[in-house]
Amino acid sequence: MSDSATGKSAALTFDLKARCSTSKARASTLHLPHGPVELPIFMPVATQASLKGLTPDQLEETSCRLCLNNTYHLGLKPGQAVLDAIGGAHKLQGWHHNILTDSGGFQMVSLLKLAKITEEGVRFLSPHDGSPMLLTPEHSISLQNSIGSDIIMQLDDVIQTTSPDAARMREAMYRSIRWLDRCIAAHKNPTTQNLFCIIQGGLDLDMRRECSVEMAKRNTPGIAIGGLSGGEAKSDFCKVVDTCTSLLPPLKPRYVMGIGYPEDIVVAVALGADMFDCVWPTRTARFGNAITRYGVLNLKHQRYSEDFGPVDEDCSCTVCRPKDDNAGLAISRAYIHHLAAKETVGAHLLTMHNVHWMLSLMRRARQAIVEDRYPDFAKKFFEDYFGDKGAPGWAVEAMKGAGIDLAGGASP
Amino acid sequence: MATPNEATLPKEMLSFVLRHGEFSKAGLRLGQLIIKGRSPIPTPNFVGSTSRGVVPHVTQDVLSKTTRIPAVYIGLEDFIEKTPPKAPILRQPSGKLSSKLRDFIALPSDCVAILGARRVPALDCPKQNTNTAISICTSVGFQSLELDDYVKCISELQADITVGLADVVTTEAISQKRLEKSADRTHAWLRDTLTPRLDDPDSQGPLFAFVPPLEPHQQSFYLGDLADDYKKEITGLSFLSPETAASLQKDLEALPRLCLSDPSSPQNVLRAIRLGNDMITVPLVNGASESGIAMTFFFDSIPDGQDIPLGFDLLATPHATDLSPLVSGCQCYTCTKHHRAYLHHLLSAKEMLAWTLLQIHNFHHIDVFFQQIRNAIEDGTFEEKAKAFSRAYDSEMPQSLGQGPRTRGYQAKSVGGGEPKRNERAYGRLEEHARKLEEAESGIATPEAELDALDLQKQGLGEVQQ
Repeated sequence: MSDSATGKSAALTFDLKARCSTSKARASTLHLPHGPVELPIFMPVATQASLKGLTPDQLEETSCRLCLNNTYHLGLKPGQAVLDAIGGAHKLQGWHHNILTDSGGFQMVSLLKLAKITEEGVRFLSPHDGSPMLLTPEHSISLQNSIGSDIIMQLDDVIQTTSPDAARMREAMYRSIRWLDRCIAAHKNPTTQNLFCIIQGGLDLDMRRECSVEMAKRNTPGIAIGGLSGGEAKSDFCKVVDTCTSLLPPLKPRYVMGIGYPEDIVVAVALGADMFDCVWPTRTARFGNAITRYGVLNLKHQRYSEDFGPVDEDCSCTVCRPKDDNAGLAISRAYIHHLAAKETVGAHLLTMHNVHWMLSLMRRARQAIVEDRYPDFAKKFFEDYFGDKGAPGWAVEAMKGAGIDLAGGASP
Repeated sequence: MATPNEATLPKEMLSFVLRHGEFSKAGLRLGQLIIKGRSPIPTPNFVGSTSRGVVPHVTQDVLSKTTRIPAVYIGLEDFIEKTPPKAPILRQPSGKLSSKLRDFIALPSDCVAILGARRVPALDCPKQNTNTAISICTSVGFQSLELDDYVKCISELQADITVGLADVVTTEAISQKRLEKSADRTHAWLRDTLTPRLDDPDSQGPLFAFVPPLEPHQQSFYLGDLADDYKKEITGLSFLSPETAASLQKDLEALPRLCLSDPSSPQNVLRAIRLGNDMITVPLVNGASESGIAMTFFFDSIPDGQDIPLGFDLLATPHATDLSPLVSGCQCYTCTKHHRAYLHHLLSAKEMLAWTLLQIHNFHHIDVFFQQIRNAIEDGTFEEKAKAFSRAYDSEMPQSLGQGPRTRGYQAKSVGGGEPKRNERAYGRLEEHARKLEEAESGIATPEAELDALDLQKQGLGEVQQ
């Protein structure tokens, strides 16, 4: 389905633009059915076909061209019949750019503690009326075909990476491979929707290696590394990403699922990953937290009640931009403090800012890769973001493995 | 045609041009409110009500790009959890020509800012007003606002229009004596608000005098005083009840009138206009949007029929796959970019964007409604159309299934205990799931392997049955 020599498949072209000469970081352009996106990329999560109060135009203004929808949520509401009648999720939400959907399996396991996984699929009780339900690989793909997302994910057998049960982990890894085969067979729209496989295997690097090789054989247009962001140690997370990317074909996008803290992304990019998603930037916005160059600020704190500066001085988002710069709003930290947790607009403004900030971080990272100065970029990021605290140990260690010495300070 | 208004002071900051003519006989007025630096506002027109400085659910960029709200009303009580001068808004850095209030709330430059002491509609406070202070409700509880502090605040904040402090009594049974006291206090407060301005009227923004709801004879006494003493200093009048507009004496006619009421229906808006109100607050727009209602009434081409609904509930099931706009032919952002099915989905999924998109539509709709009203006044068809409107449409906004956002303490208060919880519980909603988990683990409800997988799959994901 995919030509790994050129990075082309039926509904996607992966165009590798530049590589970092020190680390495994890469800059590329991914051509998708609803337009090109630049990698590395952060994808905000519009769980139920809406990004937490932002209009599609506002989301577009953050420069987002690829966002997530959750299959499980859209399967519940509005449901497959409605999606079919409307003609998919793009039409539902008035979004003319790309959408990626997950398989629905993760929500089932994380939200519904009642799920039970068998070879057929995930058995669970309906959150609506408690009746027994089954999500199979075929059903997941059928739902994602109805959603019409540009990138769809295979159903995988997700278990906590920290699970001590190695036998169960191995079973889940092999089952995920078998389910990928069922997903590929069930996928009705390979020329308009890109099915990504998901590498499983917990924190066992041998298992991850075996899975990477097996998955790569299936030659899907893109490859995801799954099962992370489940509470494992950050150093373990880095080892898994590093191990997988070393085995994966170079001309395919690599997506690390559920990763979204800025520091995690900056490290994972150095380890050769291209795509990331996380609800954290938007969820934390609703709690009054603003991401800035110098770390996360909780604007609900009293100390911001008379801070009349912008949320982040360097930020060029609609919220932070001065009025004379392309109709910026010049909204102060003090006013966000005034609104936070009281008016929905407070959440909307910080959501706009945080999404814009994440996308701008990715743009700067990409630019640094293209100009072959990613190590300096990463050093500067950690210096600013962590300040006197210094970069966390796991990041220093992982970056050292990628050839970047964070402790050494940015070169002039 | 245009009669420049003598009472306009200071002239360069605000002027009101009333167009006299045949339409003024029934109390109907057409005019234009011109405020320095803002677009002229043709009257009658509406005023959006804000909460903590925002039109609920509408960020400032969306406000300027997708709505044409000519003016918003802002209650000072939303900003003074800390007693002035400690309130953060008063420390907002601001240039000489700009307003601290506008800068703090980032209000788009084409929207007029009207500042008063209380929100509209205001919550009743348990404590009585005193001779020098009113009771207010802030997000941290009931407090007092001293007249002196109010005067300092309004001078600092420099709204486009400020409403004088009023001793408003809201209890239903109100004694004659209390009414007189209310008139006396409001009168004295107006004097004390204006006195510091006499030295330097240009440095102070336009002030609208508050006219309390009084019995007719007291009203004329109070207004007579007003006309004699302060005609030059007052740039407009403001009241809580639309009826007050009809009781004004002749020599105050040229002043613009701001009605801070809460009309429950468009019929009440029409009534307020007929009584001669120029600018009218319309909290019903926010209310409709939060309950998932799209407004659909028009003052032009009023349909034949009876009990035609004024709007419709998008959570109601027929809209689930309906790709048509909320109102056919509507030019608003919501109707041109989205469809009923999306609004239905957002409401059903309790996504905040539902309220935003409905606010965009409903504010556009009320703007069109007022435009049609002004046209009707102009061409002499207002009375006829108002009758047809009342005949054709329901007298109340429709009921809805939508729950709206969580209610905050400054938006609603307990009416004496015992009433049901206003908000759905935010935490512990998964307890039901936990109970099911327990059942599942005990083997009662877990789907067992002997259940046929194909049958199970047919049941789908557990979609909510419509």
